[in-house]
Amino acid sequence: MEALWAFFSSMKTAIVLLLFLAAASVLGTLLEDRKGVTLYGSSFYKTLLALVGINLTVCSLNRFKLVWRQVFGPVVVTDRQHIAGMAGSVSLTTPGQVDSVSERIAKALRSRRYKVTSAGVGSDIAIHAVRGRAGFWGPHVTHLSLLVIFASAIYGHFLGTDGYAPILETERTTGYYRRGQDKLTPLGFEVELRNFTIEFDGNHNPTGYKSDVRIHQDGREVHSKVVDVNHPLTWQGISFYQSDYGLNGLSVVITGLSGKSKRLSFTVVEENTPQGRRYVIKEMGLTEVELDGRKLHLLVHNLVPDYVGGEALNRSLLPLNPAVEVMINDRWPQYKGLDAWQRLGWMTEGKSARFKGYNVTIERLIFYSGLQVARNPGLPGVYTGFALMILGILLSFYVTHKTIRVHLTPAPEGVSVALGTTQTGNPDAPDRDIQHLVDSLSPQTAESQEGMHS
Amino acid sequence: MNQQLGLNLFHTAFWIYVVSAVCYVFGFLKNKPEPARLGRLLMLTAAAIHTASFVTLWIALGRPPFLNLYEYMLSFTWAAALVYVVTETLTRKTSIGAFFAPLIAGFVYLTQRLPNARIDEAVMPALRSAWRVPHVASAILAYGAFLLAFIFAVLYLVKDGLDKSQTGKDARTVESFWSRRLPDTDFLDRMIYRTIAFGFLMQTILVIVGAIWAQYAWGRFWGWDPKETWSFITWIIYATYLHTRTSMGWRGRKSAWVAIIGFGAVAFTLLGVSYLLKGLHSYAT
Repeated sequence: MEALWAFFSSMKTAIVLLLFLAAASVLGTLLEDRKGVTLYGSSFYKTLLALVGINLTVCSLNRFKLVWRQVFGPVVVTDRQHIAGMAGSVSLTTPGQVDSVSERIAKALRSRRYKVTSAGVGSDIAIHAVRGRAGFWGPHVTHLSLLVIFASAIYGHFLGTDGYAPILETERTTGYYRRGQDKLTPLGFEVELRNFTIEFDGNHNPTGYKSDVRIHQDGREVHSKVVDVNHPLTWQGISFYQSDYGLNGLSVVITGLSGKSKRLSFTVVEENTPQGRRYVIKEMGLTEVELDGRKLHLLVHNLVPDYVGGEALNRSLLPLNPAVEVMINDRWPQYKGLDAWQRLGWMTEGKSARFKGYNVTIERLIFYSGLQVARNPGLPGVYTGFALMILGILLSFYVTHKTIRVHLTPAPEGVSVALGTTQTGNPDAPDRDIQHLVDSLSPQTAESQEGMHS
Repeated sequence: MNQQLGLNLFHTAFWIYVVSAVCYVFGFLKNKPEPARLGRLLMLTAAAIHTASFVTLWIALGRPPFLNLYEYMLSFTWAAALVYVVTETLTRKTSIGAFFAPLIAGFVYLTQRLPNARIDEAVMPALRSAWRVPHVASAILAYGAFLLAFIFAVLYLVKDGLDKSQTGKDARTVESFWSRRLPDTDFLDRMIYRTIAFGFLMQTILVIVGAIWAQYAWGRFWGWDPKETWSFITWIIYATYLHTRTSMGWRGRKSAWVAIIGFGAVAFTLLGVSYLLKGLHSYAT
């Protein structure tokens, strides 16, 4: 157990795991692109992530004691050897008494925003000065943030839900399909799609996919929102995202001379082609209708999604202005001649055409909107983790936690001073504070020190 | 203020970058400060014109030029130039310009030669979000900083290689062409660290803002889209750099190599993913 703990608390293990994770991720993107295989959900990848998580936890726990001591119990070290081992350590002798030199040093340090504590041991004095203590927390806050994100993501994964709800215009749904399931999972309320519109600019580029969504609960409308990409609707913790849309059907109304009318529905099916999605009317769009004692056959076909007319006919694959070609026949099937089919031409939504006193209108195109349904209770945790991570990194790199330790002891020529410093952030940066202290203590060496400055 | 003016300014900046690069390189070869000073002046001018181009485009389009890869590269080269100018001003080392200026001129040239080198008129629904600005802004700053770290790392390896080959020989006779001109290795090593620290912060913001945006747009904050995954890979590599440096005491050559590999991941995230892999970020071409 101890060996395992030691293994997971080692920095080498951390680096190796990080490199494995990077390599596996590279492999993941390649596998997905070339073979369509997803690696990230595999137990191999999950194990790797779990190992990184364990490593991070063990390292954080291991350092906790150290952090506590560093932050809450500044130890005034009286050990000269300890100071000599610190980065940028300097020792020098300065005239004067231990007490007065100590006060001068403390004053100089305070003027540079250090928090100073000192302790006397016999005739010696040890000083411990610290600045930018928040910076010390940086790496720990960053590591904690990763654990918070990990834990929240796992929590959200197991307790959250994710699925899909296709809704036809003017219709409602009481549930959604969970990922990988065919049966409807109840939502606890009803979601209505009033209508779906595609907004586009002058060049027929889409600028918005908008679903007018209403929430009904206990028989009344309780919430409404136009859901667009980047603008989801959230109700009772469940969010609905604009994810897909399409054309599902169209209705045609035929009105006879008597004023009686009949509504015909045609189903549209989608075909995915390498160029994009195409829409086709199901079963050729041939329908028989009896009105005012006459049998009529209506052929609704050749759906074009973005009708512009003329020779170009169609502009894009986006269903921005769908049109169908309509033909009508009142002698079929008794008379099989093609000349009996009367072309009513290309018709878009709302357009009407006349045939022997009958009026044919494309009443409505019926769109559906595919809403992604998700509830992620881990999200507040994930966002907290994000905030902590930015804070942690800012503290790590831009608040330098510095400790200066000084030891003073009487010497024949005055006071022997040993200085040492440690700092987080950029430990190799030349230390100006130590230099400043040295300058203030040794007027006789000030000139040569200044030489170092320039 | 119109779009064409913005693009013309960008093209003008390109030629000034080229002349600036010539001056920096000349100063470097001759080991004289005057041409490099002129190079710096031209670099500042080019960066200022590039800034004017960026601002003009922003005003003309009503949005920052952050949409397709061309716009992105226009902004990225601007941020890289800005990061460089700030670094040069702080460190007062103009010799780096001999490497940075040709590279930035090269990147600007590449931007102008992209297969789809034009401004996008329409903003597709998926990109209509307030998160787009901080997302791309942090990306250009992160990648600008990583580019600089890459240059420092390459120079480190060159300089360190020379220093090592000279040990034991008479310093005066072997003081080579390069070692007289390049800053010392300690400085380069420190600069790799500082640019990566800044880049890492920006990369973190980039990924986090991207995740929040993805949550709004796609209903999940992480979905292993190739661009997401590669930005994560980049993040891991620079995290490795920082850990090996601060906790394992890596310095110098080993660290420089990690910085170079990191920039490889950056370049792949930026160009490789856009052109070679399919994914939700496919508009970024």
